[in-house]
Amino acid sequence: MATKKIKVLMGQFSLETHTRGLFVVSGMLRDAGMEVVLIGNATPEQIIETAIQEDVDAIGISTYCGGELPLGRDLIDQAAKRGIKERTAFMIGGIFPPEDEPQLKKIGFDGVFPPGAVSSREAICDFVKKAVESKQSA
Amino acid sequence: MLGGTQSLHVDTYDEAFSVPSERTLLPSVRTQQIIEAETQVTQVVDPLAGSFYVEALTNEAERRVLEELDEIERMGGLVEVVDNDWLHSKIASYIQREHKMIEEGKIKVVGRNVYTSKDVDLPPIEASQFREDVQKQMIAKLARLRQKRDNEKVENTLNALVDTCKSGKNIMYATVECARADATEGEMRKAFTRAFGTWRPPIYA
Repeated sequence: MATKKIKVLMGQFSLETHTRGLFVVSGMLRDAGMEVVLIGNATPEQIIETAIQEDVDAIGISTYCGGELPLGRDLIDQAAKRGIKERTAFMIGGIFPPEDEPQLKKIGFDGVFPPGAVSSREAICDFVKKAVESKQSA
Repeated sequence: MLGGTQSLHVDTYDEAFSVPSERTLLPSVRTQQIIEAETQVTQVVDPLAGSFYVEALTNEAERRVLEELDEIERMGGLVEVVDNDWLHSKIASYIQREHKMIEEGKIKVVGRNVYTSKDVDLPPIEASQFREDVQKQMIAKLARLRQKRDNEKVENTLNALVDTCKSGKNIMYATVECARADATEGEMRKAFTRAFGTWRPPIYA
């Protein structure tokens, strides 16, 4: 069976100025054979619009500046409104207060990646593959 | 310090998470005070001057910087290399290469790929909480401003700012007029976007 290349949209919210994580993780996913669309800074609405146009399987958000809870909630709400929430895998990674991690999962992010070994290249790439698989077989 | 810095700020260990607390600030302040009070390093200007090793490194860094700048000039200048994605592709590929070197242990990062300990008891991170009441207050304040200001004047000054931006003239006077009419920073920023458009990072697949 021919497997379709996983397509991931990578971005960060409007006011984020730190791009290192975004570039590093985008490179990891590309090295793992995925197709990466890098949107850079964008609002939740723009991210979901692009996700629909590009027909991506997953969305990855890099965050550091803060605001990941309200903006993350907006992102998932927009996805639900536009009807792509169920079939898209959502990931968020970066630096945020440790107590926000369970909150981000509750909001609807399938994968949450704080700094450290839990966010290694293998962990991230494996997670994306499995999350996309389980979303699409559901 | 040894390079002759005029200002030194030691970050707190929780600085990446939120505004630091007084408790987490103390070790940072003490670090600065130890450097200042116990080493006397502030009593001498440029203590490393003349060191063959430091001078050689400085010259090498300077040579490489000039080489990069020359290359950018040859390609048409900074605006050109941003427009054609050369600069950002270069930065992206550099940090990806550097990250691989950290993964492979070629660049050592203590606590991450060398001298790591499994069950280290990290200090708790007590990030200051985002206050929704402050957000509500600010939104209400903005709404009050928009109600009491002369919105037609705001509109006119913003349109004039757009025209000035497009004309290539000095935009400072037009911006000051917007501020005097109580236009917000966000509204002025949108005027710049209307005039200049917006830059997007290179999209690569």
